[in-house]
Amino acid sequence: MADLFSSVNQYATGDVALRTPLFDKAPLKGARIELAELPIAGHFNLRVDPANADAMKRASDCVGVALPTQPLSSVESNGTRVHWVAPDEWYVLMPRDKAAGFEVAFREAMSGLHYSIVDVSGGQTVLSLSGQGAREVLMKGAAVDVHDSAFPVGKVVGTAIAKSSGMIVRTGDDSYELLIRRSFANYLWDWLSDACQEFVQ
Amino acid sequence: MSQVNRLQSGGRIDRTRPLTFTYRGKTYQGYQGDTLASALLANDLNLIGRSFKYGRRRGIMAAGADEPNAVMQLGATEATQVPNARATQQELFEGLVSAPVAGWPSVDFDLKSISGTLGGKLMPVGFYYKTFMWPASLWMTYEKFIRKAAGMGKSPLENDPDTYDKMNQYCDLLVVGAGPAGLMAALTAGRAGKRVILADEQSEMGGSLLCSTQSVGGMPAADWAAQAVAELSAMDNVLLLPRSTATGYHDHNFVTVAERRTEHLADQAPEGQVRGRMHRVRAGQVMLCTGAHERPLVFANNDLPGVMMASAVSTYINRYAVRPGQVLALCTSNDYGYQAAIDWHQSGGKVSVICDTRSNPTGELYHKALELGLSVKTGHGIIEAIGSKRVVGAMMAELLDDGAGVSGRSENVVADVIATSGGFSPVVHLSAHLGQKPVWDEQVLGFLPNPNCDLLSAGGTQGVYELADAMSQASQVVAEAMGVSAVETPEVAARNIGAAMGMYLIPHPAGTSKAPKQFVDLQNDVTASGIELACREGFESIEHVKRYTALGFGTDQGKSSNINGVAIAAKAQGKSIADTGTTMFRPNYTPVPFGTVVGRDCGDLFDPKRYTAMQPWHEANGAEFEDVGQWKRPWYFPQAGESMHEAVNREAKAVRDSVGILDASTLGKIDVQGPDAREFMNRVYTNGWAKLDVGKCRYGLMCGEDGMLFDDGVTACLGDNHFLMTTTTGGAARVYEWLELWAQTEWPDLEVYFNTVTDHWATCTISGPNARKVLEKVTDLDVSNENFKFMDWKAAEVAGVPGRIFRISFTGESSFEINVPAHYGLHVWEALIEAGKEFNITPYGTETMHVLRAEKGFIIAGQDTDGSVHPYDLNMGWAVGMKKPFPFIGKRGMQRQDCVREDRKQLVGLKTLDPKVVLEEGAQAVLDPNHPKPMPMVGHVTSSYWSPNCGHSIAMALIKGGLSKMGEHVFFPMADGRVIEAEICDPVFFDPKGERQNG
Repeated sequence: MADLFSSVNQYATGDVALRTPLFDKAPLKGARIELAELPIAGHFNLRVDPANADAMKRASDCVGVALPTQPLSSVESNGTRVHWVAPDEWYVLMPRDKAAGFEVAFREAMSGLHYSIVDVSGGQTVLSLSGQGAREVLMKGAAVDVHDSAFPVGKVVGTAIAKSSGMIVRTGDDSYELLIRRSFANYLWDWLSDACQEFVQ
Repeated sequence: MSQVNRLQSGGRIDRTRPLTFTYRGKTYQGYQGDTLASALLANDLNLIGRSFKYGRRRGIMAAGADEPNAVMQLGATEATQVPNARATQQELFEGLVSAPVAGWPSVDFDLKSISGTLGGKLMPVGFYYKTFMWPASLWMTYEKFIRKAAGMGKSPLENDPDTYDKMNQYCDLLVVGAGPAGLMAALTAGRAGKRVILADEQSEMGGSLLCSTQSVGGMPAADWAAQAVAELSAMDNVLLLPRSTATGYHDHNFVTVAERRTEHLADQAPEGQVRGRMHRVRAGQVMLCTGAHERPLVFANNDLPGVMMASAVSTYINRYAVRPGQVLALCTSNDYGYQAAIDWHQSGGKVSVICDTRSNPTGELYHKALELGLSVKTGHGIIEAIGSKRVVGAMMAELLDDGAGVSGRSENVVADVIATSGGFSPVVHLSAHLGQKPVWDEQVLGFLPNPNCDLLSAGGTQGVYELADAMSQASQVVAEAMGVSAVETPEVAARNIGAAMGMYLIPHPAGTSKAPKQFVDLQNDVTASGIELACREGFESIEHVKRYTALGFGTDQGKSSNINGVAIAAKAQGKSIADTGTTMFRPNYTPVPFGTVVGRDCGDLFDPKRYTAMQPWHEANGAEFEDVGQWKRPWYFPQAGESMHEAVNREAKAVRDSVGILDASTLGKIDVQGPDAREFMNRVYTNGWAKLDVGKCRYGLMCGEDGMLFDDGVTACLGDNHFLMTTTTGGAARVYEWLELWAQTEWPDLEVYFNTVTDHWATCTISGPNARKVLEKVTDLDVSNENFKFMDWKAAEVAGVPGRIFRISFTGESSFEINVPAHYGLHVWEALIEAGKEFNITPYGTETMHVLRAEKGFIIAGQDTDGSVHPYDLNMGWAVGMKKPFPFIGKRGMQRQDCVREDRKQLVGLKTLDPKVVLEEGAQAVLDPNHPKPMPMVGHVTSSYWSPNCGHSIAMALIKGGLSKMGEHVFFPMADGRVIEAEICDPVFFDPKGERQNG
């Protein structure tokens, strides 16, 4: 019953200029730190009733990987990464070329159920923060414990970053991705760049 | 310059690295490893300030955070000025520039000293209260003079060039203090694999071990400390924070630790480095190993430069290789005090006398002093220091057995340094920050942490002063609290330490009130007689005594003086020290630079600035910006030479005459999905949503339970189960939380999900008679009035980008809000600008938007409403669905008796009689301007503008009973004496029939 919802196509096919919020920022590269905005991707927020096994299965099949139920975890498959946000909420990040048909496909898969999918690709961007100093830069801006023992690779936390917010995903030993809101991107870029300075030399 | 007091060998300074520094404009030398205080003493510079109230000469007294006198102004440039740095804690660096903060006009001649040397009668305790409080109007003048004369440092007049930051830390155990107990505590938890943070305020970890002459584990104490630090620093699970002071203990083991990262390196931090860092530590457990501060003994003239703490003397000799004089006279009430005389003697100095206030000392340090041939006078005290500019001798006398009086004749001895020890005060400050007061222990003769406090502690903090005991206690406490194994205590020879005597004030034959000043708090010039006077004047609570006398109010917070003050007050009131108690300890333990508190959240980074996708265009086209919440919105787009007024007039005319374009991306947008989405709309909005078809939009009012409007906006029906709600720019987060609150707590049975999509959609609003023509150029959609009616929305491609177009209007013109995913926003905006060129499309900002909506009488929630206005007050009863089956939020509230009064303030329009006069927003209305004051006020102006399209001023106002006063006049008496007369009218000033927005 996809027609109970509106799913407007949001993907231009022609030659249209497309700009991430930090399109004019050169990556910051230092001896022990790197900060860069990643290329545009597909970002979706999903709400599914975790108690409904059928709904969970249909959603997982459509996404291509089982929606993680372990709090603060993420799973990745074929370039699509699914982040646990809340017991009934997930955040899906996928390459842009896969994103165009995803909302319609998901709505078809979930037809008849109570669920939601929202394409938030335009409102989000991803920063990559990596290097030996990355963890300490995060410690300056986020109040969560990012120590190795408390924040393993794959962990995801939605939290305050400086005076804004975002999701922190640990993607490797010394690498993190920050999923942040577009309108705050310039602020966070400036804030993080400043916090990175001691690791640049 | 020679360092006359520097010892030839020993100490933890690096003689191969001499450092040059400046004090009062002259250049001196010290060594790497010195503090400013040790370098000053090495150069025999011991007049380092003038006292706060009496202007008396003061010298360095202590070697750490407890120093009351050596407060310095640092900084080589105006921008790097640091007021009130403690010389005993400031590490020396090459080029350090320092000067005393006190002393006016100069430290050599201080005006206040005229009163200070004449005796206490001229400026008794409470002097300022008694003298300068009358007449009250002059206090400001007095205060200025007093502050200047007191001299407490000078703030820089330029911006601090350094940066600061904060860091969030977690650990299983935070150990505060890296002395013998702290190192053992950290080793115990660290070896067990626990996450440990060890914070120590000094440059080098080791605490008292660094100046101890005892042997630990078969090696010099300092070597053992270095070995322990090396082991800890090799552990991945241990973080060492030197130069870091735990300044505040807060709820749930949250501790602020202020780290001084580069203050020891140079006047200004190296590039890329922060000067200070606030560690925000959330600890599983917190262990205080803060040790103890020695208490000085209080005696007459005890503020002369050259009077020092006994342990400080040892520290300067053993750690810094500085013996601050030639001849020492020592007065002690306990065994530990002897160490200063022993160290002095062994460094080659002369000890003229050791006065022990006890009549029969027995401990081994006493015997050692005798063995060394030092002159020990038991049952004696130093009752007065002799000298005018600095100590030249000491007056001693035999005391009564209980120390309460002088029994024998006084006798003078030669000395240029007088050291005293009245025992130790455990450093319990952090344990009391949450309000649990420390408790007096008669055995320890000190206040210990309240047992109800959750903190762990050991060693000096617990009044355990012997090395071996302190170290094994620390390990045991950690082992027990954390369920790990204790570590073996290194071998330390046991010592026979005799009992100390509870001695605070050494009596003087003249009595406290007649004796030369006996200083308790040297930073605030509080004397023993002053405290006694305060008690006689009726101040009983120690908190009142503190405030009346200023005891403990200085930048040192009375670390050397509070307990002596408590003891003297207790005695004066005939109470015990336990019953008298302490004053409240509050964060911060030592002063913290503002920069460290603020971190990097200042200047440009003070608060987030939110930008829309079109920001680059706005900036390139000269927009002036207005803050709306955290958003930067274009306010107006001035052309060359245009004033704001001219720009807004031009923009407002352009919209009505042709077409304007507004960046409306900042409006809050909430995606609502679920089978009960429609029902939810019915409940949170005042109006009905049951019949809104897919493809249609509706304006809605949102009220609180009290019935008062708090937000409004247009919501579109996207699908039967799917809505897009818009909110005001500033109200977006609040509305989103409001919806979640009701969905999660009140109506969890409703199947509905919310998602904020404010950032996802960029919104270009084109408005005006030519808006349709512009749109037609960039879309294939049939946008004719027949196909695309007012309050419709349609999915369509605009400039090659698929999105949604909403035909809604905040200007009263034919208007289209084009929503595209924000990464296309700039492209679509630029395409619209290009397409609009032939119609002179005019970008406009929030100011013009306000004028245009006011011409139409459209409200702005938060400007025309203030939380006390309901829909009927706004004459918007048409948007309230009283017949809806489920009572919407606010329905009951707006029907309360007070809400249906006829004389409520109601929203109306105003036309000034002189059409050129623009009312001030906020101006108060009266009905009779000739009424005697105070005039009854009947309302106020909420919005007011010059309307270029009407050719006269327009205003909206909330006026009592205004809806039934159409055509009547109200008056606005202004501050400049003018009275502006206005006629109450309908607030729709332009196109009252709405033909333009529907056309």
